[in-house]
Amino acid sequence: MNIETDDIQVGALQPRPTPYVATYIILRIDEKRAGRELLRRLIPAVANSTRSNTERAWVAVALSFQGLKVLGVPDASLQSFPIEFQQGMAARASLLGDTGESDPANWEKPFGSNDVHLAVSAIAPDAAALEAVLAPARKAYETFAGVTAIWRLDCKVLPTEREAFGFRDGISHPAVEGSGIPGSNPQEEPLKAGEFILGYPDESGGISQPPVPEALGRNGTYVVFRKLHQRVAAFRQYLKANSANAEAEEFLAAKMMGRWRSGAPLALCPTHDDPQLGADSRRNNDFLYYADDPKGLKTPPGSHVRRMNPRDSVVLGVPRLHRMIRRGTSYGPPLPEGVLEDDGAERGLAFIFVGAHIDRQFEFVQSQWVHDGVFIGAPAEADPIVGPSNGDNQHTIPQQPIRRRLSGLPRFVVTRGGEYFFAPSLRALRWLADLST
Amino acid sequence: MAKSYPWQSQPSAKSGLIDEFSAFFSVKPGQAENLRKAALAYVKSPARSADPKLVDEASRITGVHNIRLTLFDDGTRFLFATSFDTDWEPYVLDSLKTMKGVAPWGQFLKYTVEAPEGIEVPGKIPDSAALEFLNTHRIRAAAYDDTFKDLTVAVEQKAMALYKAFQQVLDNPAAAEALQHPALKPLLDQASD
Repeated sequence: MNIETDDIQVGALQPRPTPYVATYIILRIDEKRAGRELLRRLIPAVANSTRSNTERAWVAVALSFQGLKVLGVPDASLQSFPIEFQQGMAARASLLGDTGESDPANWEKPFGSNDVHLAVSAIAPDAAALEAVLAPARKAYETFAGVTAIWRLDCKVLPTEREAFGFRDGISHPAVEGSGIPGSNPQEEPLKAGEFILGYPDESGGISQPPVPEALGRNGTYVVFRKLHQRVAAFRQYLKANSANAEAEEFLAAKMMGRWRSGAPLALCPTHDDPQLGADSRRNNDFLYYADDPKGLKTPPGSHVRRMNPRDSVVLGVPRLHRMIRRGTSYGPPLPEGVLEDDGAERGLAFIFVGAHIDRQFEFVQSQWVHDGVFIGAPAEADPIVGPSNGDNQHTIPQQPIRRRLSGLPRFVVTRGGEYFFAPSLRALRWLADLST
Repeated sequence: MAKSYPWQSQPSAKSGLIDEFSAFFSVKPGQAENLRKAALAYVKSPARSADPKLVDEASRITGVHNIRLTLFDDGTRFLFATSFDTDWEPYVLDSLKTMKGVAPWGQFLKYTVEAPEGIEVPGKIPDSAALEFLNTHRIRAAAYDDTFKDLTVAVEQKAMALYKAFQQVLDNPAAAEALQHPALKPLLDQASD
């Protein structure tokens, strides 16, 4: 299968670099002609996905449903977008478990409002490379009336090169048929291109339906953006309160995540960490579950990584229909090592999902595999790391002779805001810029 | 137009964790008896009854509790009803994938007026088209109740395994003494009948 990589934004498929620096900017389009002109000026800054462009620094551009509407996209096109994209993330809060503290009523402005129109993101291995790719884009929107930058988040890898809870991340990435980008698990057959890019055969046996017209929809993809606050102190407190010593804390953390903090998977290192393996991208994702660990005695079925991708486990559902490209970039200062009290600082993860089906991929995993444990025979259990909780979440750790059951798990991750975006192809960006409605 | 179905705006027909699916079709003239035979053959098929382990695994993947295939109105109408863990829509594509397409259901659905041509042929009807077909003929129950509304397939399987294991324990002459430990009181309380 050949995919038109020269028309797909590089940010759609390319894994993020490590280390990294990133910036996310939300713009409000105050006047449609201004929005179109801005797109025209941004297009030169957006690279495509051909092999020659496997840069580690790039700019990506995406639009929300409200943004497409303000730009003057015809109604017939707008109505061809999937319902969940039209409604926007805030309207899907109940499905996504964004309740209580994560309720959109508590989100950072402008998230949850109709002002989130255009997202410009940039990522690079270092600050100088970031500035080099972002400067032309920034020049386009900063000097242009009719479009206003209304929100910004700067991210960079923590000094530990891990996310705020202390785990190496960015390990797992699916291979996408025809993309030329290898996956991180050699035992996973490449996913059909249509799982991640619109207009191609997907895993359902159909074609990932792009919105109309083809000039707008083909080679585009959907991007889910979420700003997630991480309660690092609370996580450390829970580990300490439920462990006899530091070594036990690390083991407990691993049994909740599914990997040791080094990145070494429990599937390959069930009793002791192996930092070398954790750091080795050729080995740290090379495993399955069914033959070696059906009951989860190594990797608990309810652990975070096994929920995000059950691989070949026997679960309710077929994992290949729900694979995701996920990227996380950290924001905020690290909580110093050993500190158990929250310092009030905002810290966490800018989470990004990329895929052709917001409902079947992102929303499915969030609502069916994170929100509870029906799919693994544990209805009362939500994801112990990112799942919702009223302070009463549970997590079962299979072990012999008697399983361990964690209780009283609080919510460790709170949604600060987010939105659903459409990342058009390069041709579509020109189509949008050339609108004359 | 983005896809939407009439039932999406109706309140859910869930009972606890269990959801129901009911689709109604018209039977092709003169085909009622063939449909009846095909329906019987389906529920007796290897996928549904031969190897308990396979059935268990398939049930865990699809969450299907039961399937009811009913001819009514003098054999002119057909009900395809099932109930399963969780909501219908998130998982129906998974169920089709597990069955390797709609063809297994096509063996009886082919006798309905509404079924697409070739529905019984493996690989002929893409899963997305099969889903469209099923959703178009779905009518959500006005009310639905399941006695064991919080027991998913996996929990039922575990409960049955525990029941069998407990019976084995009780059959052991040493059971009464073994169950005297205070930690085992909840089991002892269940041991008398």
